[in-house]
Amino acid sequence: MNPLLQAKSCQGVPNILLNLGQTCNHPLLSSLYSSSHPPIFPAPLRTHLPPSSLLPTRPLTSSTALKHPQDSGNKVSRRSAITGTANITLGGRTVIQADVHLRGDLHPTRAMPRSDSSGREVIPTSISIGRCTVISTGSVIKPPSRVSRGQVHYYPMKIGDNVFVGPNCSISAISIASHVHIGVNTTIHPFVIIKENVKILPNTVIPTQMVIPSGSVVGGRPARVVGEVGEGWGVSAGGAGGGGLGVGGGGEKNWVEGGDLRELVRSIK
Amino acid sequence: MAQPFPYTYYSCDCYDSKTASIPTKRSSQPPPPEDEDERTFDPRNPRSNYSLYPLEHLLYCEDCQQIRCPRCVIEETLNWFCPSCLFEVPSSMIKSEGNRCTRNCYNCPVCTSPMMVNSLEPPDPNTDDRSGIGGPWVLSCPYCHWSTVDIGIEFEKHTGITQQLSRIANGGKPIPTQKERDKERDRRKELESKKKEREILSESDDSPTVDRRRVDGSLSHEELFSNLSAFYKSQIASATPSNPFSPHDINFSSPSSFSRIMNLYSSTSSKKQKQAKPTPMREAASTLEGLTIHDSAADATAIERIKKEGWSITLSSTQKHDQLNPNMQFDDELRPVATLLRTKRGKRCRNCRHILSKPESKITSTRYKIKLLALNHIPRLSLRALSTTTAQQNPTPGTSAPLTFDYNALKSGIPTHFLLTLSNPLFDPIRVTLATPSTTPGKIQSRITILCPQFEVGANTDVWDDALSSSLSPVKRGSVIGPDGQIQGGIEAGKIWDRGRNWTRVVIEIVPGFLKPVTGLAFGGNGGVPEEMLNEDEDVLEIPIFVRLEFEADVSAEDRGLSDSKESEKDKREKREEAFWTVIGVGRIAAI
Ligand SMILES: [Zn+2]
Ligand SMILES: [Zn+2]
Ligand SMILES: [Zn+2]
Ligand SMILES: [Zn+2]
Repeated sequence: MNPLLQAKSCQGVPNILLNLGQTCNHPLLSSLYSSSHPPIFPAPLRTHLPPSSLLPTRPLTSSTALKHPQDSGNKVSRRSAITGTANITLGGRTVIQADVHLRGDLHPTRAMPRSDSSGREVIPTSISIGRCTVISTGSVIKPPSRVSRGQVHYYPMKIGDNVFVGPNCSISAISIASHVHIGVNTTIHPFVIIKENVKILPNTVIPTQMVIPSGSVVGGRPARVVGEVGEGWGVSAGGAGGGGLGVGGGGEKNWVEGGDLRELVRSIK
Repeated sequence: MAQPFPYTYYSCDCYDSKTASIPTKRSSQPPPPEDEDERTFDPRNPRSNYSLYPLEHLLYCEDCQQIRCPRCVIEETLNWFCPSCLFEVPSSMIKSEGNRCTRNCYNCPVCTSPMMVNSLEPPDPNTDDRSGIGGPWVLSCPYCHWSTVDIGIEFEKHTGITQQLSRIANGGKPIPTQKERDKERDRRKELESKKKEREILSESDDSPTVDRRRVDGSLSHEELFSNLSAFYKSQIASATPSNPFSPHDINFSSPSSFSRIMNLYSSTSSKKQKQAKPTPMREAASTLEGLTIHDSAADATAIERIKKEGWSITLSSTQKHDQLNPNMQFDDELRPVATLLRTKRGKRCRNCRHILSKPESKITSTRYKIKLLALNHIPRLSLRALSTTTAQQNPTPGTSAPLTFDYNALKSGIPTHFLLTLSNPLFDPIRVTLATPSTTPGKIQSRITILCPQFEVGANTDVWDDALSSSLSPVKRGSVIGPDGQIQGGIEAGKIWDRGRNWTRVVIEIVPGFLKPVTGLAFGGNGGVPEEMLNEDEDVLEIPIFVRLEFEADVSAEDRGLSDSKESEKDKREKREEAFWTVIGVGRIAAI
């Protein structure tokens, strides 16, 4: 049984137009919502970022300088708009560029244990972003929601490691696995599930609840699978694995789509 | 797939039927050797489309020592799965049920988006549990908002959509099951035969039969198919026992054996026997037997309908192709499309059958058991404009934006310098020879000069070696870069630009051609010649580069075993050579 539905029924809130087609018995969703709640992600964002630097109302500085918290290596632009920082976790070496909007304020309100076994209060997670993931300029990350009994309910959203989100994307997926490359101007509708090693071509619109299996190349409006990534997807030449190849100095792109983005993260100032 | 400039494609030479032909054939007709050497690769040749791939799509056969592209591998299906619900479908089920998902996965017949099962009834706000939400249910598209309501189909349950859908015709009428269909057919056949008897008795009125034909004319695709298949089955069944040459009929005492033996001795009956041969199976003769007769009245009504309701009710060709019934015309005939299954496949070399790639068979796994990538065996070529590179090399903290080179606006007639980087994935140093035609093939002729076509690239040794050695070999270059990012000197022919642990960089000078012939020169005479139109993407500057590598590698253990074991240590290295064409998409020439 879908844990989503179980969660619903235990709280006693039936859903209008709750989809039962694809999510029912869905192995992915069940893994998403099963035991691991509350999330076991690294420390929340607020430990690294003084809230004052994150308020969207704050006057924007003219420089595009990014913040370098010493311990996590996250690079968050002062010109990004992050709301609800307490509900956001960044995995480390995560890049949030200018004019990115993270809607951490849209967090789940459904019933869940108020505190964990040790008695501490649990902060609901709304957005968790993995290691070496890059969210490019102008993209909006907004957790998916459903309307039930006239009320909007948000669901936590997870983005994996080494994900590249191109500029000006609008993302409401429920889950994006690791090593996903999302092209510019892409719209991802609520509750979309994207598995590992997927390439999304620029200007794609992925309709609600679409599941994209790993190894797909996706494009179009609405999105459809247009091909498969090659066997060498994400493998940087040299074979030494992850950053092994010194393609070298000046300006040479030493990261590949779908690969380890550490070098890209390092190059972003 | 379109890639941003600059890109590099690698050519697999299997596109050439000569090299891909079977060895025996090749030996009988040896190709002229000078032809192979002098041939230049034309990226604009339509055939080139089938040989150019990005490096990550290419595999490498270590036995053949050759690149293997999707065209020269054999694929083996490991398993089938639904891309929407990600359930694996056993191959036995593929044989019985076909290659579509039999769960609740459907695609919109209008826009292809995956569909959702939704309730038509708003939930009762007073009930607490989900089961309180009742039907009826519909399949609906979240993207274009088409739903099965549009074709008059609702479901009683939200599960088992496939079973329910197979029983409901558009408009909500039930579809008879196979058994019911068979029964109905038999009943009708009986009726018809009785009618025929009656007709023979009284040939006066045949109006009821005509009426019946009309009704049958609107039989569904599935019904016609089942009628036809039932007809053929009965034909085969009736033909088999009468066949005297049936291989199964070997009983000596059977009548057919007797007749065969008797025919051997009596010449007179041979003619008669020929006549007794089973008549060829007859074709379907009525609707009940699966015959469809073209009905011009149906065409007329279709035309009338289009007149009244417009083109919007007709289907696009892609929508038609997505449907199981290819004869569909109007949008009220559409059916939700069950999601096509996908496969996980392994790949083998077409020549030697060695496995080149084998993913783990578990659907959820993205790992490979075997994966022989070309990018671990052949050098990667990458191009960058020289001005950009240098600008980024010395970033000035004060300046606002770095100089960016616009690859989509190459300037005709202006010599532009690019850096070509070759990085070596092999653990041995390689000697590289590059070759390129002096002008690009195609209508727009751009001049290309590789300033240093022969050079060495270091081995792909440990990363730490690089860290240690990089400080020892600073790049000495006499170049001065002006404030505008232009190179004011220092580019020397025959010298490499830069090198690192396992990469070497050389300069390529490109003079982009003119989109239109310079008008001033073509002044006299033929002013009447119409201006040549450029085809799509003819302004894209692509340069073919032939890459040849030579290196010494350890003889593989297998080969060593075959050779004489008394050979000295030195002989355990063998000279190897590799050559392939690449195409580098430099950019687009700007219109003046
Ligand atoms: Zn090939
Ligand atoms: Zn399915
Ligand atoms: Zn649709
Ligand atoms: Zn082979």
